[in-house]
Amino acid sequence: MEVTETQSNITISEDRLRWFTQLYEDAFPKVARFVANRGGSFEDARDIFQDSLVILYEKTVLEKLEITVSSEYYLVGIAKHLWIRKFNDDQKKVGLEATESEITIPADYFDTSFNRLASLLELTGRKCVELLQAIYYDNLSLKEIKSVFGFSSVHSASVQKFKCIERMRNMVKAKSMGYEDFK
Amino acid sequence: MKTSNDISQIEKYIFGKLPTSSRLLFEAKLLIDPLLNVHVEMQRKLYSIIRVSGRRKIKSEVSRVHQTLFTDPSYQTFQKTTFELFSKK
Repeated sequence: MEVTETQSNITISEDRLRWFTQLYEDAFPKVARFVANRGGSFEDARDIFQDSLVILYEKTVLEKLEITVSSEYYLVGIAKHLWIRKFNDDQKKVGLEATESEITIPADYFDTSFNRLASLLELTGRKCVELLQAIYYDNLSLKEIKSVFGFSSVHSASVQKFKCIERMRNMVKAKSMGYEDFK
Repeated sequence: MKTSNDISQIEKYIFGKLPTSSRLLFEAKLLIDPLLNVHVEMQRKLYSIIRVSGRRKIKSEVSRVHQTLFTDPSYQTFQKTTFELFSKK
């Protein structure tokens, strides 16, 4: 399974679940073996693998990944990096292959400073959060947004996008005040 | 300036997509317009929050897949071989 092949069809939830299931079946045993051999638990393997899937998803839809290796291989590579990070294991001892050592983890992936604001926004502006996620996180085009969200035209999808940004931006401003994570 | 223009302009600025001349003009405006500064900061923050929230969404989908694979009887072989890896310790 090439990462580049799957780029266009994993941004809709159902297809994504199928993709994740396939990757789980193919790659989880490999990650589990890697973790077990280093004294980690089933839960360690689960946590690392789930974060690896999220990171692979981001790399697939957001970055224009130009890799020639399979998703599965890439996934195991991400998992090894997460293991090293989590348990301060020695990179040399883990024995990363050349292609694996080039893999990077998003710099803000373990940043928790926006968690509280994210919860607040999800609670008070669910619809807008979903729309903006689809645009900025899942990287859907406005044309795709139109059909997924049932807008009458690309223009009205775009109008709604701007309304949501304005509304959410004001909310962020209001909620930011008085919170420690306001920087 | 219409709000949608303002938002779109700020977005391009944040994502580094303004052509040089527009960017310089925008930066000049930032120097004299405190409200624009606030809008830029809030919008930047909003994009980060959307990413956090998107990650959560994907993470919960992934957890659901895990749940299915480790409870559904049709994946029994998969479950057994995985658990065996951890029982050998």
